Amino acid sequence: MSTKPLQMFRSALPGCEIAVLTDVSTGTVLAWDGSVKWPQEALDALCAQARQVLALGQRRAPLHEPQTAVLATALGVQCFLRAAPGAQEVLCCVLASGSDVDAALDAGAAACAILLDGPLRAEGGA
Amino acid sequence: MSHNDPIIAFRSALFDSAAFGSGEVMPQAIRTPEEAHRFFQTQIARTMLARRLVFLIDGVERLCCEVAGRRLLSATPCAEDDDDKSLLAFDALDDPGTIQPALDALAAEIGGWPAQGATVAVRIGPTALAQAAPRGGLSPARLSAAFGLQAAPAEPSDALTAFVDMAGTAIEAAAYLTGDMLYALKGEEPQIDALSGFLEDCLTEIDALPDDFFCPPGQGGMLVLRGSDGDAPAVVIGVLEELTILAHAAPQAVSTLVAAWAKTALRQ
Repeated sequence: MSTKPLQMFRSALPGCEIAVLTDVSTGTVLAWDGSVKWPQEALDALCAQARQVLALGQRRAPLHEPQTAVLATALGVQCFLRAAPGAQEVLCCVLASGSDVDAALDAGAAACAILLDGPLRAEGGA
Repeated sequence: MSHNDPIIAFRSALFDSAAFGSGEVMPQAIRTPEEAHRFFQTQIARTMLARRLVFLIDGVERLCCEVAGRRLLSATPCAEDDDDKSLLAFDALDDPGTIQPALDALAAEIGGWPAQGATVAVRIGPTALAQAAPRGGLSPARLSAAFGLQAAPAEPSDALTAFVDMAGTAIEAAAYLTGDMLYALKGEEPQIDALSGFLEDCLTEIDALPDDFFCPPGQGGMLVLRGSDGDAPAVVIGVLEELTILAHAAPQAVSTLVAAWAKTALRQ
């Protein structure tokens, strides 16, 4: 899978340290793009976190199936976006404190559409 | 296990209350019927999980109550062995003809506590109604009206209050959890009940999160969850010191929530 949509997504967001596309059903990193190279265990931990947060409150009102999750701590903001309702692909990104989270979520939704349905899907893997 | 770590303290409190369901409110002085009524109403308002509350006057058991979801389900004088002597029975809650006389009798019973002793205490334990407790029962507001009380203010932390204030209309309803008690911060009673129900349903999942999930030790963290229904409220779970805040928020206001949390809870 090409990393170009992730690169474009991350470069458009000031303060975005890393963007990762993961399959939460298998815990597999599908693609990633970052300002620094994260060790594999850190990528795996981010993927595990995605699976945990998007499982909270499943089948319970008002969430039913969590679509996005945002975790804000003193170290920054982590965003997790399911690529589509019911999809196992999740876009994860780590933002600096003070970043525009709404803009990140909107851009993430657009990036997911390209990653899953766009013409770049058929290119070589990351 | 360190209770300075907020998430560990939160999980520990949830586990203890779920597994053992016991606790105690130490003796407090009561001088007037109003103080007795207010004390009783406050214990009901603070009991989120299904519990049996036994009220003691000067160490003597006086009243046994079943409470769930911040609602009073039954009240029986401890001197009585026969369930027919209950002041308020579980199966009579839906009968309008019996509720008001029962409330009057309950108000009279509790109003008589200062004449029986100088202090009131509460013993909290599990209840057999835990699995069958309905969403009915008498609310704290109904009890306040029956006792002639004005609403008692909550006492949240300054940071959580500031967060809710700063978030403004982004937050539709909010409550904070300490120990196994849920206190309303904002919103109407049905909204607080919805938050309470969500928390009860998700206790197991939240308890399964890693110790450092919400925050590095000693700092606060907040999680905002949105469902696939764009009109449904977002769920906010925030952990700060010994407190946890649970809220429903406007789904399009995530940036507002994050900014408010950074300024108040994280002091950034």
